[in-house]
Amino acid sequence: MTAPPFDGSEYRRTVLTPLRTVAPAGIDDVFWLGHVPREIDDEALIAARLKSAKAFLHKERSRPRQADVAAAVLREWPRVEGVLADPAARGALRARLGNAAPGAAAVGAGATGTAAAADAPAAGLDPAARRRRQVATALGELARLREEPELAEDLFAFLGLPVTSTEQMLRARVEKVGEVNRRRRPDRERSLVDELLMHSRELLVDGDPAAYRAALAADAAGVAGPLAPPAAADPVAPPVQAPEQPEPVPEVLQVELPNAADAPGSPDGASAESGPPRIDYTRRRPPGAARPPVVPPAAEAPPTESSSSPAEGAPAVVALAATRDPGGALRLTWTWPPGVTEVFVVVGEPVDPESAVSPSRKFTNTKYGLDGGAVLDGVSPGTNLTVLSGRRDASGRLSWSSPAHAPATIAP
Amino acid sequence: MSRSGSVLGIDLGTTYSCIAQVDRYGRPEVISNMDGDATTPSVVHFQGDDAVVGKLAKRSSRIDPDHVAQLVKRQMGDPDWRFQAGGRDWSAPGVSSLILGSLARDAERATGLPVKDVVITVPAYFGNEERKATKLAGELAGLNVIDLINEPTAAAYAYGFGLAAAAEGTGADETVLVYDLGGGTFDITIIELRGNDIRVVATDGDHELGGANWDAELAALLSERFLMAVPSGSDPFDDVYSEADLMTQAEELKASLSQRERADALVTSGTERASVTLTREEFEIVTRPLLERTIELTRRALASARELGSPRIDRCLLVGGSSKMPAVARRLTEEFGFAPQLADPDLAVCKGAALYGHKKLLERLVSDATAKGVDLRQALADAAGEHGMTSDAVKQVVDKRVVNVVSRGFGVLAKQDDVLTTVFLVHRNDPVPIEVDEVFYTMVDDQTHVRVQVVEQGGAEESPDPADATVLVRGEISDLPPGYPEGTELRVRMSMGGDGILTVTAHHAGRKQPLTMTVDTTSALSGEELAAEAEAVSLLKKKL
Repeated sequence: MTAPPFDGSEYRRTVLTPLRTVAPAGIDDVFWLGHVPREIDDEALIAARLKSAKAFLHKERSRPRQADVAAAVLREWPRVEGVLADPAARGALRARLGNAAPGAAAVGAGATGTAAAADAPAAGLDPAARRRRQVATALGELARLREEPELAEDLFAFLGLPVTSTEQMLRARVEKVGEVNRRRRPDRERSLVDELLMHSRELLVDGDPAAYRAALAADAAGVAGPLAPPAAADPVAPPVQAPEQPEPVPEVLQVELPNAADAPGSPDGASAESGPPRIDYTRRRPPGAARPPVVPPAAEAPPTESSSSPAEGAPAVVALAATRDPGGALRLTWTWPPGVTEVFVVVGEPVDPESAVSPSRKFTNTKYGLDGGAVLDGVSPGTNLTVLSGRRDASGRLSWSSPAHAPATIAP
Repeated sequence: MSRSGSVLGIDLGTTYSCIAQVDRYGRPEVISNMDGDATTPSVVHFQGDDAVVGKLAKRSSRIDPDHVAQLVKRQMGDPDWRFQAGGRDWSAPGVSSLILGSLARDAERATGLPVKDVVITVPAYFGNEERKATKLAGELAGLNVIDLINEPTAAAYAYGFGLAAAAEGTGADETVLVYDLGGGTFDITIIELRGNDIRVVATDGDHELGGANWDAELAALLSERFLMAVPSGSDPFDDVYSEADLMTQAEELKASLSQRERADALVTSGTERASVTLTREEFEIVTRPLLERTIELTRRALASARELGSPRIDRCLLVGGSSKMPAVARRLTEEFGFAPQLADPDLAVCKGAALYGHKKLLERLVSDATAKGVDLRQALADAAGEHGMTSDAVKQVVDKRVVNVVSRGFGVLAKQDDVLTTVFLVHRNDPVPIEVDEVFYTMVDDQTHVRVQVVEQGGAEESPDPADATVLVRGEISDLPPGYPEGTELRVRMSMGGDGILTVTAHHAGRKQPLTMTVDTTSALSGEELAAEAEAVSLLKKKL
């Protein structure tokens, strides 16, 4: 059997475009991702096809509209090649997919929310609406890059603040995000955050957040937004009043988690205990006197991305502690081990992070740094919390430690 | 050096590159390529076993986009990036080497002289990996890369040269802000010109921000207008050929709108076409976020310069092809009150590199002669005679000093409060040469090994998180004798010379000799890949 030659434009239209709204990590149909016709079973043909697709994806990384989607698909490439190069795995997948249309999961998902707004035809938009589209495009790309779909919602989600935030809160957060971002390596994510900060400053801090929200709502309803540029905003319109927010004074609960340092995979020594250690709240130990910097012994692994080990080797967070904020939210703090950039807090029984539902949350080290911890709403006393650490390999693929290796379970 | 007087300067740009030499009157001169153009598109078209560089390659992007490599400079330092063409994978240094080789051959054809020794320019904000990749590209092209020079410094060098020539002396003392908006990168640098010294005070930038971003926004606008005009048409971005054509149209339209208030472009998609008219105002509205990012970076660089004792800017120089957009000068005036001056924006960097190469050459001639016992006055006279200059002119060039700053901090990884942390010894904007000592302590009694990992700051600000840094050098003191308690000192010394070479020594009382560091080159190309790439470049060079 033969297959038509690889067509980059067709791949772009049929695969990359739908993937602007659906993460490739969740796509089971790797025939579709690899652009390999499902009926082909010739090893050489499949290998050649995958090579062409991969080469095309590398080129797409340099092109304006598809760069981030192409990078996301490339992160999935080991999985795509792994299944398609294995006749048994290929056969099993073929049987599982049955008669479903190629890429049905992605194509059927359709465009949703802000991502759809970013992709919608923009003909005839006024400058303000075009500006919102630029924001939506950047938000969508950042959400795909970080694998945090909720970021695509709006600039408030990007800043991690409620829509009722005051100008002061918005300004402080923009400054803080900017400060953290400037520590990052110069990469696409840093550029996107810089761009979104600029929009946040003009549309929210110096502009009119209520008008921004109203225009987004109008966009979503399919009505062209009447938002004027920030400079032209009505100067006499009353500012949006956010609810009075008292200065947060954290209530210290039973916090000390003594076993955390012995958790499996922790940098300072591995415990042979199986399963997550159960930890009871105690009072937070006052921080000890600062020690002078010391040189790590040779046995310690370097913390660079390139040295990241697979999921099982991801070290657990240490010095895990919890407090209750005045508003009732639970605030978790911990020390980030080398290489770990994201942490997933599972509320309830340990589950697969990819399938966990709210209020389980993923926290990046950036978000954590901005909020001064991991803030969870709606966690009632007695609930088990499992903290899973995750890190990315050299290709950027995120791997989670398994629940069996979670560092701690909190039973308030 | 292969021949005195043959150190050429190369501006290896994201979108365009050029090569220059210093003429027999000591003036910088750009060497035109085979098409008679001063600049060559940094584009490579692979055709089977063959490759074409420059204008023809750029044209080919519209008919064979899958085999055309562009904007490769943005991938320098990324060890994973590969461009597949001609049955093999090309790294960013490999593709760049073809561009450098093409420039060198054009210069050889134009001058009739072999080109071997070169100075190549890099964005000030390039880190160690990107600089290494650039040097590697030169070596793969068969060139002897004498030095790399930061692009804004090169521009200031060229500007300072012109100033000195006009004043028939050393020129006036000035603090200059160089706003360098190139095809793919943005650098902002504050430089003091004081007598014979060119001192970089502060630098900042973004190497994901350049003219190509303006082109992309313009292309999106053109696509929208096309779909308005042809509702039944398909989005040009959906088709690789239409997209390539659209990007070319966008670049040309940007150039037109820099000179006119309104311009047209012919947009095609499949069999459909439409003429689209855009105004400069529309263009400036959609690209304003990009411009504002450069303004923010300028603001930060000015703040750094103020902190470092340079509060006043006497002159604002605009460098880089994209700085010709009228909105750039207007916005800089609005925000900072500058009167920006376009300073030979397309060629200043290349000319500065040639002047700097010439300086290195004369320095070498004079220092070699004096090392052999020749009197300095005689050495200057000999060098002057060889280059058709006066002794005073040679002395002036040799005396000129370029004082650079560190564009990113350097430090070591150490445990602080039980958390592995980056401790910075050398900080961004520290002037070079620099030498810094810091004491660290062992963690346990009788510690047998000590590992020292030297890192480079990843972002614009220092971060204690090791994940934000890049490991440059790894070293280890092993088999330490017992008897040294926890808290035994480890003295780390970090020094960087004007040549940008970082040296790190670490001394533990249990060892007489300090630690000998080994440079980690794993993030460049592996030995095997390097050999394969060198062979492929060599094969292509014979055909080009």
